[in-house]
Amino acid sequence: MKILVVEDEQKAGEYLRKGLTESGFVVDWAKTGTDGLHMAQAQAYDLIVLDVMLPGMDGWSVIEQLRKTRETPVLFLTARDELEDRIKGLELGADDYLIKPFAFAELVVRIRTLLRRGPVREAERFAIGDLEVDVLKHRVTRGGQRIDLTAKEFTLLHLLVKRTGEVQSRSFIASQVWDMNFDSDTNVVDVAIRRLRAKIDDAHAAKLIHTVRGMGYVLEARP
Amino acid sequence: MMLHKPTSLAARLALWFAIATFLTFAVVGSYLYRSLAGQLEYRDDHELLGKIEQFRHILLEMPGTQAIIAEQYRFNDAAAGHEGLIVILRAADGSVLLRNHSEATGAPDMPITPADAVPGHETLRAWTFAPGQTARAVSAWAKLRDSSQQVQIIVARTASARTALLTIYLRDILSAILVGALLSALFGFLIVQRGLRPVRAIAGQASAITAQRLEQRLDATTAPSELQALVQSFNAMLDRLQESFQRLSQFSADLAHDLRTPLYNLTMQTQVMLSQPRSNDEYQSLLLSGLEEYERLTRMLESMLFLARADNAHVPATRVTLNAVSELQKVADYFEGVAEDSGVKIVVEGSGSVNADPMLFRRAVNNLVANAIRYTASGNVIRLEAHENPTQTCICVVNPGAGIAPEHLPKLFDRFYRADAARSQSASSAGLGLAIVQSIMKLHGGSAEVASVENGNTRFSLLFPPNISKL
Repeated sequence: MKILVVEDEQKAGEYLRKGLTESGFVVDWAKTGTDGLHMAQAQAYDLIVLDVMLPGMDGWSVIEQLRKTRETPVLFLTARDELEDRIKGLELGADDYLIKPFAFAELVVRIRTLLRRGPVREAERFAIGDLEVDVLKHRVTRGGQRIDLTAKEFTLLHLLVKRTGEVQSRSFIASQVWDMNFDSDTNVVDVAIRRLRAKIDDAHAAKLIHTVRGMGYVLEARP
Repeated sequence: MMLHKPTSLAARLALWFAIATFLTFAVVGSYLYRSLAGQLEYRDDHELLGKIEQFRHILLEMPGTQAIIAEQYRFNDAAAGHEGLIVILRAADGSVLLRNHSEATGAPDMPITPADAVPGHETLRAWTFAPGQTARAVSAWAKLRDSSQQVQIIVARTASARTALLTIYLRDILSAILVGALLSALFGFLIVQRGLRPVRAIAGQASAITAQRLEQRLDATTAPSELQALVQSFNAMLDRLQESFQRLSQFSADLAHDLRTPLYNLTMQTQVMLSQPRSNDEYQSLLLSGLEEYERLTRMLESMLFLARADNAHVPATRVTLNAVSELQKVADYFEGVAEDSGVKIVVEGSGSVNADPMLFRRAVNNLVANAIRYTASGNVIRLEAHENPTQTCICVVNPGAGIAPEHLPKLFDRFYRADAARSQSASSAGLGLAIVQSIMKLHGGSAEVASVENGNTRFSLLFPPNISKL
């Protein structure tokens, strides 16, 4: 998967490239809007991560120009979270946005979602290792053993298994499970994960829920 | 935009004084002029009537018309000393016996008072005795000693003397009006200048008030009563300004402090870690610790931005009617795990609906519950209550605990205000949570209140105004 990052800030650009490369993407980095537009028009990228505040040609113009020839998905980054800004970006044809500063894990989740070009797998049954989740019946078993979960615990587990292998940030989890769309300095998510772990993982040697330090949580079967 | 330079108040008032004086003097002057003119005419008329009497006396001594001509001097003497007095004596047949004025050749066409009657003022007539020359005239018959004969007396007086006098009087009046108006303009100007002295004094006091000396006030005791209201409202404005100013500088100071702490942590730990080679684990823990600080800074910044925007009403609040209990239950669910960890139970009670923006509502209740969990000892119950009545919906978060000292209560919703003076806990919360709660309530046109009993219940109440569409 090839991604173009258009970001004028040296440090941010470097680490975006580094982080995305390490997440398994092939990353090109353009430092101005003009360069970014040329590269986006010349090559076929799977996705463009576009900073809005750029010297010379700003992000809005880049999207406008780009949309004349290509339909490459665009995820734009903005420092201002004024509503008009977001609406403007989406109207111009961007596919998603993130407000700076954002959690890196969040960016990766959004990129993966856009690249899938469709809704998340809405499967009815998941099986990760010896964990089985039946969404319709609200049934969870591990190694054949039935596990009783509360409604919220089930929603949390469902969120994690839907995106197996993808790191989910705390704020993303909070907004998806409890509909709390703002950063709070409480450790609600950590506590909830700990409780879920107690039921899913504690009795088993092979752990499924993992903490990615500084980023969030991921559910996957690790060898 | 001002098109004209505003004229000075003193100059304007002086001009109005002058105009008022001019008009007053003009009215009074013309009244006096008319009155004088009338008086003079009356006096002249009276004199003419007197002359008739005097001539009748002289004529009564005259034996006949011949004697009149012979003793002309007696009449001339009587007429002398009266400027502009015309005397004509005519015999019954119309022949002129005596005339002291060359131009007054004819005789006025007017009633002649009989010899046995005394002429009154009503018998006087205006007489144009020569082209362009008029006089007040009176005519009467007079008896001679030989009572069979009668002589017609005509006395008249030209207006010239009187006119001259009145002309001088008019000139005097006009110059008096002019001088009076000028003087009153001058005095008016000086009086207003002097009268406005307290205003200048107040302006002087006001210009001495600066941001550094915002505690100064205008002296209300020396201000004249008309300016009292102005001085008082100005002082009240200063009170409000000073309060916001103090709050603002306190806010900047607190902000600087709260920014300095994480920056200090970051700098210190990074420098110490870099001072010698470390293991990978140590580097990782440094980065994680750094990340925590960054996240704290980010949250603080986000909260500050929220407050700043809420102050300017830039936060969109889309109000819908929410079921208060199910909304509270959501928050209770959210905190369930954390509460259980600290041995606290959260229960939801009450009923009713609330008209609020769902996200802002959750955020406000969230902040209150997070606070409540922090200050509730293990084994206790935090109650989330909803009460709806026709005037408002009250959402309460009640927790038992040590309580908040009364002196802290009024400032609890201030930004960065913490009841514990030592800001030791600044790592855990930025002290903006309750300020955000209050901002959210202001955005909804409601209010946030707190009541606390020592070693009893602390109750935070969010008062939402009723759904307007329901009324």
